[in-house]
Amino acid sequence: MSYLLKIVRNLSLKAYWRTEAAKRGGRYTVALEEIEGCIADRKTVEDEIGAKELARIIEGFLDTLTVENRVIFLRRYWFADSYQDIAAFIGLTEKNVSVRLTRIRGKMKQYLMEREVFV
Amino acid sequence: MNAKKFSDAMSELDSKYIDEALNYKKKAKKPFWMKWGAMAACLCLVVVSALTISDLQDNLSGQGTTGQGNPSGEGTMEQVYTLPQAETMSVELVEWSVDHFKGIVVDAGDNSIFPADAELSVVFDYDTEILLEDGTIMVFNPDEPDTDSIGWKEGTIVTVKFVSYDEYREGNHFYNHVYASYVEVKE
Repeated sequence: MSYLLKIVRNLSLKAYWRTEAAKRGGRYTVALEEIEGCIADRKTVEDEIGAKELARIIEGFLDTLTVENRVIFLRRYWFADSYQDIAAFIGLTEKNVSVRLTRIRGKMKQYLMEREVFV
Repeated sequence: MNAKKFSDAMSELDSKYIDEALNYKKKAKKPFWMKWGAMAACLCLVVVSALTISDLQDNLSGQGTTGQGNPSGEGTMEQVYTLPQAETMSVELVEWSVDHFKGIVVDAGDNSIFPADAELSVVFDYDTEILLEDGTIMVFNPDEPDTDSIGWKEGTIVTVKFVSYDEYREGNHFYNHVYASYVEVKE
């Protein structure tokens, strides 16, 4: 099932970036904007990290989270669920989901900085 | 582009994370009152409300809590605020509850939100770390709250580190909740 979802997601994202849907706003755009504040920006080629390498690092970070927090993170930044949908899925309030994602992003920022990850 | 690189990286995550998020089953939580007894919970609510509302009525007027939102003037409203980085203050423990304690700020420390003498509830949430007196760190679990095992008595001065807080307003009364990321007894 996850294999099929990955294919669908990749196809959707190709269309998303190609048609510049990001500029028109939308849930996934909002989710990515939340993350941008966590990732330092370096313009030099030497400092850039590849997507696969970044994925391994993010996996390391995900392993530090509780199951519930990890699921919340994935539902927001992989599935692009709304806060409302995540709250209903997990069984929490929207406020709780919002607070948790804020903390998780803060932890991820710290995690990436400690590993000198620049994107 | 930061966002695109992050998005690309998310696409490269191992399937086990996707499967976990896909197949997650939310826990069946029993309501608080079922666990602790409906009558005991209602009684506690009535007693605590009667005592605290009368105390808070004068003390809460004019308290300066600043944040990113503007609470409406009427009715009940919750506004969650998040700080760019954790702030610390000292709070005198006044009364324990299941997953929080009521307290009064005795030293505002480096926090920019709550002045000295502000009344608030310090809430223990997922990932709240508590430095116990034996030197071990307890990570709080709101699903199975156990503030009794912390052992701090009323009157203890507690150092509280927090990033999130909310301002719950009902009518003209403000109830501040601070979500602690780390707490320890102040030396």
